[in-house]
Amino acid sequence: MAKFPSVEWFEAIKDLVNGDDRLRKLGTCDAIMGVKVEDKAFEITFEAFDCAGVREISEADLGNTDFYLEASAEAWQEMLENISQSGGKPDRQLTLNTIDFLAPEGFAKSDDQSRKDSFYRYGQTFQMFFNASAEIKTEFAVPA
Amino acid sequence: MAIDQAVIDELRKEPGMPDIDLSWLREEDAPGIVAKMGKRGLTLDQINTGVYGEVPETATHGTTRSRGSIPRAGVLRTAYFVPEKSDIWADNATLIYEEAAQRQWSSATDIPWETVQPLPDIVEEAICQICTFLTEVEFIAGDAPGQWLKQISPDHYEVALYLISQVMDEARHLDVFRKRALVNGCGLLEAAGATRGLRNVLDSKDFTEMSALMHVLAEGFVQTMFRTGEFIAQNEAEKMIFRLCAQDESRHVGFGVMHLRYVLEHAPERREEIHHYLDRAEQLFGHPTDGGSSGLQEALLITMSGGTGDLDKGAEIAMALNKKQANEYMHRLEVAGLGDRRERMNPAFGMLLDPPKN
Repeated sequence: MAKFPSVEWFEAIKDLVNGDDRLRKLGTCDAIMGVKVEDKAFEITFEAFDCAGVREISEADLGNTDFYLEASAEAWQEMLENISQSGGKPDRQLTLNTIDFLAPEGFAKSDDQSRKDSFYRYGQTFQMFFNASAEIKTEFAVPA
Repeated sequence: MAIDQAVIDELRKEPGMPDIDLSWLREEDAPGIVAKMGKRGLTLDQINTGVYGEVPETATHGTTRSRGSIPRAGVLRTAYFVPEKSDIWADNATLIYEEAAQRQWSSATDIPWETVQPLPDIVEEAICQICTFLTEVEFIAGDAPGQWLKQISPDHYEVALYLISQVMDEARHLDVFRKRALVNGCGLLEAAGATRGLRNVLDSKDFTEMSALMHVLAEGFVQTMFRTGEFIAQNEAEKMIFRLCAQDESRHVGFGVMHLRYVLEHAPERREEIHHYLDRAEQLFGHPTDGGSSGLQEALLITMSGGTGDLDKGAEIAMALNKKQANEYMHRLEVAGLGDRRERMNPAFGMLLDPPKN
């Protein structure tokens, strides 16, 4: 069981999606995605056909990503639990795009709209990345 | 009629080999390039090395000669191309073309059509009205770049390849929305017709005008609508349709933003001219005959209310969509170097803008 959020959790997802060609089938993706959960921040790098790397970073380093996804621990948990319960097919209210649309301040953030557009350009890749979490058991650091 | 024996003898001979000229083969002209494959395979960026990667600022010939090949005298001209690189170029054209080729999908087999189930009539009809509008819009979105293909020089072939990939994307969008309209017992509803804003895109006399109007303004707005589409989706098929279309649309927006940036960096004297195009386009996009028919607006309200009939809720969400469209449009113009657009934006859009960040 991997704890969310942690490098171990993201590494587990990375191994899953790299291991069965599912990212390759979607086509190339070149983007650096940040994830912010409360005071923790992570950087997930996508390069060509793979998820190339995962590391914990400082909040200040989020500015170096193409975009970062920011939500409360409760919101992350709601999304990931829904993904788990639906077998990797989240309800329409809980897809990355819809969360981003409905959140007043947005879910995907960046100071550069053009870099932020990579969130939409590779949307299916990122959705598949998080959908893969249905295949692992997740423990939440701060239960909602 | 008797045939001359000499002719018969000549016909009986084995055909001889013509004299070999080999004038086309000049070792000194062959640069000896060995392109190397990278993580993304053998991409255009990897073969654009040496003389093959030297993109001329001005295309000086009107023939089909490929960039890097050796000119030959007497070749026929085929077109008048847009000569200036700064008029058509975007630095990300190769990246986006390769990405488009990698991320193609099939409306026939990649959409889980079996998840489309009977819906309440009003919801099904609203979705079909939206699909009718999008089918029309995507037809124009393929036509507009298609008109420019014949004017892109082989010296600037990267842009032509990108445009071809966009036409393919738009063809798929047209067909997927048409399929959605016809798959669940309703069909196509009221046609919007070529609205003034869309007609304005088709009428563009300049490539940058077309790109700013279509890629940055119109497709930027449509991209936001597609992202919203997952919210109004009633099943996995619709979620997938909107997500995949939003991906494609984002590439087109990305090309447009980088083209505009290239133009403003290399031909800064065009700034006012570009503002003029946007002045007109923004005005037409806000025109009563634009944005589609009232049918589209009502269909959006119905779907955004979740089919509950609570149109106030639908209107609230539609306003959030409009706000996102206007703000993202402005932010993309800032990235392109046209941040001063904020001061002269059509008030219909300007009133939706958040205050600038700094």
